[in-house]
Amino acid sequence: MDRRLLVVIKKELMRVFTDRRLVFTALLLPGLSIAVIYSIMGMVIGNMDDERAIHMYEIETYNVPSSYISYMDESPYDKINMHEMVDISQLEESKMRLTNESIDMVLVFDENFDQKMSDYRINEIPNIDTYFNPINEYSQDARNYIVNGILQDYKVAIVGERLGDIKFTQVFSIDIDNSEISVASEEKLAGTVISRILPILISIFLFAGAMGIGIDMVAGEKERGTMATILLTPVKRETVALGKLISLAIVAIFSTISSILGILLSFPFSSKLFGQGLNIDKISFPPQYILLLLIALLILVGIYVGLIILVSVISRSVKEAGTYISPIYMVVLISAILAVMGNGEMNYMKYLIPIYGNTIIIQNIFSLDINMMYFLINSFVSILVITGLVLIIRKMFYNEKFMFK
Amino acid sequence: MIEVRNLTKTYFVSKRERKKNKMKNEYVRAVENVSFSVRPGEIYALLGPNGAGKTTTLRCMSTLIKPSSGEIIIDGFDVQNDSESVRENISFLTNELKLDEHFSADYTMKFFGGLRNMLPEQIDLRKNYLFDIFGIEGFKNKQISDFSTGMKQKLGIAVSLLNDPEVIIFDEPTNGLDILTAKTVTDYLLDMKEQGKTIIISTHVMRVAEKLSDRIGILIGGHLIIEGTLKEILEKTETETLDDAFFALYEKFGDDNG
Ligand SMILES: Nc1ncnc2c1ncn2[C@@H]1O[C@H](COP(=O)(O)OP(=O)(O)OP(=O)(O)O)[C@@H](O)[C@H]1O
Ligand SMILES: [Mg+2]
Repeated sequence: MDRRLLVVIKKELMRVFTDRRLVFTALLLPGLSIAVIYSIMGMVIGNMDDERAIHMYEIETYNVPSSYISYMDESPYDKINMHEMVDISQLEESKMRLTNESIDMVLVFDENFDQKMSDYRINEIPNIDTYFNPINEYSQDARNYIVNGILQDYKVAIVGERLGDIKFTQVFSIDIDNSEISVASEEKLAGTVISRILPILISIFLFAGAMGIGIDMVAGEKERGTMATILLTPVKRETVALGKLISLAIVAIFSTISSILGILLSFPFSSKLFGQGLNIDKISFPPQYILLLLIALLILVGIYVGLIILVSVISRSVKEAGTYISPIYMVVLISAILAVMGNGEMNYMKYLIPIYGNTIIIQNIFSLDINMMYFLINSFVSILVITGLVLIIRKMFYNEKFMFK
Repeated sequence: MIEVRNLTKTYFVSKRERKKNKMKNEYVRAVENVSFSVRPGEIYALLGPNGAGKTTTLRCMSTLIKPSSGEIIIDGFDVQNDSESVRENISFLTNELKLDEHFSADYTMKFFGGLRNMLPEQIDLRKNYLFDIFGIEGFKNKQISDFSTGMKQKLGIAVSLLNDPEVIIFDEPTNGLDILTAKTVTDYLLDMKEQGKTIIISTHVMRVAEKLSDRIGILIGGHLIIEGTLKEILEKTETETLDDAFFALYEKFGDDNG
């Protein structure tokens, strides 16, 4: 290898890593902001979940029958604060309180509820009207807790009384000795949750991390007049181009590592964002998948770095490069969004699309569910794209129209 | 040795540029059919008004841009086919070349030495010598952004001379320099001439051409109108001073520029 390539790479890396402003904005800031944002999001969602778990439901009842009261005294349902209302004419006020969320539910039993129940053979069966506020999450929870929980069990208890013994109501059991309810192995379960989110984050981080520095690498040097000074040395222009591509790839990788460290740092607070009860210790990644992941990531970095440097070469100023790069960034974002929304249907066509296909490949690797054929198709197409980009960049480096103002 | 044969350079102007600068033509013929040569041990001055094509001619020599037709041979290497060997053997300097101001003078020299494939000891030797000549030694570990304009220019010259080249190409060598710095540069050029280097400079200042050069070529509107020693030019134009000679020539040839 040309020793001068190393000289170029070293200079590009020194330029970035010895510049406090660049180190901060390109390397530390992404990780830090992600750690902070995710921790806050995780804590907010975590608090909401915790609160929902301990919340006592405030319910108001009309004409409550004594059988219900005695049932509740012995039942395990303990999240209810019941307020007995005496006058049915207050129902409208109760509904107002539901609307302004000071109570969670209203139950209106028919008058003489117990009497009607025991007269069921000759009379109509009694009714319970329920009122709740679907806008209020606690009210939704309360309705589910009462209608599908308490009232169902209350019904069963009464049927038991009619039959003479509660045992007669038992027809079958569900999962009484089954300790293995979920058949997904834990590592794969973790895989699917992470596989949905992490690949698209990585894809976006890689591009965003390389974007700012990449547009400066060529367009900025042309604008400041430092490019010509370098091209006046005996070094081949393609060596300069290649050195910049490789350095930018290294910067992109460091910036992405910083972002991922940010996610890991936020994990104690944010694990709820990535799925209930996700346990990172349980995620084991077989070595062959790590290898595939590295290859896939390097290929994606290659495409991104090629695109960014290409934009940088055709632009006369950093500002102009900034204008051209934004639509490409949009494509990266949209590909990422499409990849998360994907239905997992296997269709080789989508692996032919650069960026989108690459993101899906990385998703597949994370969920430990990859088709080698598709992996090879995608890698082949991507390498063609990268080669094309590098050849165009090389050609442009030799073109005085692009290299000089 | 520099040999320029029938050099023509045409710039194509994009639609956008044309609109911006209100230009009519799709192309600018900056230099047309120019031939001359510069021998080792002499300083040749390309003299001409603004837009005459001086920078264009020198840039073609430096390999930064390509001739549209004609050829330039520098120490036996063709600028088109052997551009790396040409750059190996020349020092090219203009005001427009800039250094990355983030780095120190010391690292900048190391970097450019590395690009020239020089060994670390070679770089150190040359660096100390040039820093000494141009008075940079005391500032070598400072960031270039802290340098004065004159210091930056001197460092630029030092960088371009790093490889101790046989051929020196300077575009407006004393432009923008104070008289002390300008003297450092002209003294250095005269010194290099004594050592037998081939030197070409461009200038629009008559005095610089008179004082520094052995031979002068006058470029007007992309054409080399006349060349020779100062004495020869004065004889041919039947004038007393270079200024008079220039005005006489400009009156005669100045209108047909493209
Ligand atoms: N990149 C370019 N594209 C189009 N036209 C150009 C370009 N560079 C120079 N020109 C034109 O070519 C002609 C010669 O320019 P050049 O810079 O060689 O002149 P010069 O003798 O160096 O002038 P000066 O004394 O102003 O430096 C001018 O008309 C200039 O406008
Ligand atoms: Mg000029």
